[in-house]
Amino acid sequence: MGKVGKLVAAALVLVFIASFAAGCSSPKKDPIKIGIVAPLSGGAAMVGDTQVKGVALAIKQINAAGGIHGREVIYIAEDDEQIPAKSVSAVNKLVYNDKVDAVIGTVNSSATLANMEVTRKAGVPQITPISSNPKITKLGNEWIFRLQASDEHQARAIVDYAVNELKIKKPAVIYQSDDYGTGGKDVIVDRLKELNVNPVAVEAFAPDAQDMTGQLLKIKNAGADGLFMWTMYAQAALIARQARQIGLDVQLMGGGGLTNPKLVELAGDAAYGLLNTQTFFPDKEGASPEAAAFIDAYEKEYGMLPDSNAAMSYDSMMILAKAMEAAGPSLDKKKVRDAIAATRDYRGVTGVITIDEYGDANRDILIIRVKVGGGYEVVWPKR
Amino acid sequence: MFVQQVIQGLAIGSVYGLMALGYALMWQAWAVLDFARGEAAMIGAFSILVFHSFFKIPFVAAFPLAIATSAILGYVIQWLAYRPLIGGIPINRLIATLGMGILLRNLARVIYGADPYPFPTVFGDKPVSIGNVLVVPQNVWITAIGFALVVLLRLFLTRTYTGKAMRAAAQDRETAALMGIRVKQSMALTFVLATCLGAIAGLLVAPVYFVRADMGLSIGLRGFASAVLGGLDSVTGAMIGGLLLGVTENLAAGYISSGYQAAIAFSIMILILIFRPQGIMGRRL
Repeated sequence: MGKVGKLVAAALVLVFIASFAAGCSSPKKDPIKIGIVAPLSGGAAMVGDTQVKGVALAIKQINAAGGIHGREVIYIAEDDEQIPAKSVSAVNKLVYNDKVDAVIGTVNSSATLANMEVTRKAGVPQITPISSNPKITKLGNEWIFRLQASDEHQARAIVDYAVNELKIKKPAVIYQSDDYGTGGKDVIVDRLKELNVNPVAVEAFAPDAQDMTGQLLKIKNAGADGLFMWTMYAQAALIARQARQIGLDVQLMGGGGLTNPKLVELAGDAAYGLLNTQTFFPDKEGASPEAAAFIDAYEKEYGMLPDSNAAMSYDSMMILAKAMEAAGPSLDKKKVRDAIAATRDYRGVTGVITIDEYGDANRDILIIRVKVGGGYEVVWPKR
Repeated sequence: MFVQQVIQGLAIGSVYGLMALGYALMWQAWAVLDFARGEAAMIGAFSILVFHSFFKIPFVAAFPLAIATSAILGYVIQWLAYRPLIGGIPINRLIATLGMGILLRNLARVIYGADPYPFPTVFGDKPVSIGNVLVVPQNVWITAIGFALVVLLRLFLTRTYTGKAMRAAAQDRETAALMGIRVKQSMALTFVLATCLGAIAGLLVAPVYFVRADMGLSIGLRGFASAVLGGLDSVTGAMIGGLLLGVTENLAAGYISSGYQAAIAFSIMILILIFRPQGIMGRRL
């Protein structure tokens, strides 16, 4: 070993010792790990993106306020492409490799139904911010919680409003032919029958369909005076525009999946007056103080308005943090689970939340309307 | 209602037809089913979006700019992924097209995000009433431009030296090369042409179906089906195949069952192919 070589070796040893000493002098606590499972690529990537953004903002605020039990919170996000099998692998990785303390996710109901078996077996608390299929909380799995109002509540609310307040007598239904759309359609049709109203047409379209004029023409011909649609905002924008193009001029109504500033951007004036159910809407003026503060913080952080999914994800993380504080510094997973289940009257950005015996967040459902020129206003409950 | 359903079917069918032209062209010149065809539409749509909506360049100037951009990108794509495989076995080329499609789709998603972008209408989207039928001006334009391109493409392929050279190169590369045709150049040109056709389809549909990273997937698939239906070796057939598929889809939704809209349309396609495997306008195999 030459002279230079010896010097380098000595320097390396010194650096090694110094780094060791530094590690000892300030004993760092392990961070608390939150696993996020969300569609980060594929057709629902935009929704997965706002889910991560919502959780990340909550974590940033929690850390700024000193973390949980003085420990820093970090998140690990895994992509499930909204494919159930991939979702299961993603949660397996989070639970067994990363050893996360809790899981937040995912978007797609079919994927949540599959991946929640992993957290149940491992005994890890899981909150899905937005999966709305009624089945999720009805299978006796005590480790899964849901913040979004289930489609059952949402679809009933909009049907009741249409029939009781708008006096719609000949409604039609259009829905995307997957778990989400079909589940919503079933509740709408059943509720209409309970109210003694017969839908004049019930039409499906493929989840990737671009042209729904065939279905809309049929609905127009059936003489509909109102149209329920159970789909997401991008296809709702297509439906709104195509309905106008074929001269179908009826009240458009739907569920929480329609709330997004993009709806008006894409559909333009064809979306004005559209009604849908919601538990969160990005309108500072009509919002609660909690929601307004969140909208401000989100806009500042990301330069865009939050959608309901971002808000649900933010609330999921905040409720989780509160439960972790309440469960004590050991972060015993069963205690955290029990603390989430014990959530009562929590004032979140998506409303006042109480977790019911099934693990569903019970709350009032709002009905909001797209204003002329964009933006939303609450039409129900009446103020 | 029947007439209205047919008119709506023709509108979406013209888009399928325009996409199908690209498939037919690629089949004729490269002897490959190019599953990245849909992405040409995506490239065209995003090009016009960037020039017209982001840089605020007027449509008349943005249109040729978008086509030029698509042509350049098309050349780069064939040079990167298609040209090295010319001598290889056909299945490799097929896989390369699939891979290129996935790559381009996700690249667009990384750059522009997954949300759709609106695009202002150029030809007008307010319906005009003719008798008791409603017609949307931009749909008429899409159909008219589609047919104009078919005529131009046919003339180009059958009357010009370059067009004939393209077809010769596709039929028998070695013989064509012996006859003095610059085969690789000719194939590159076809690719660029096919990309431009896809781009035109993409920027025509941008106001109707928005601009999104995965827009090529569904219209690409329908375009492929239309090309097979019409006959892969006939550009006229490709256009007719598109119109037929569009009309069938709409009539299926209107009169049979919207839940099985695609299933019915594709069943009819399979039926036609059982009796005419070469497609409606295709030459006998």
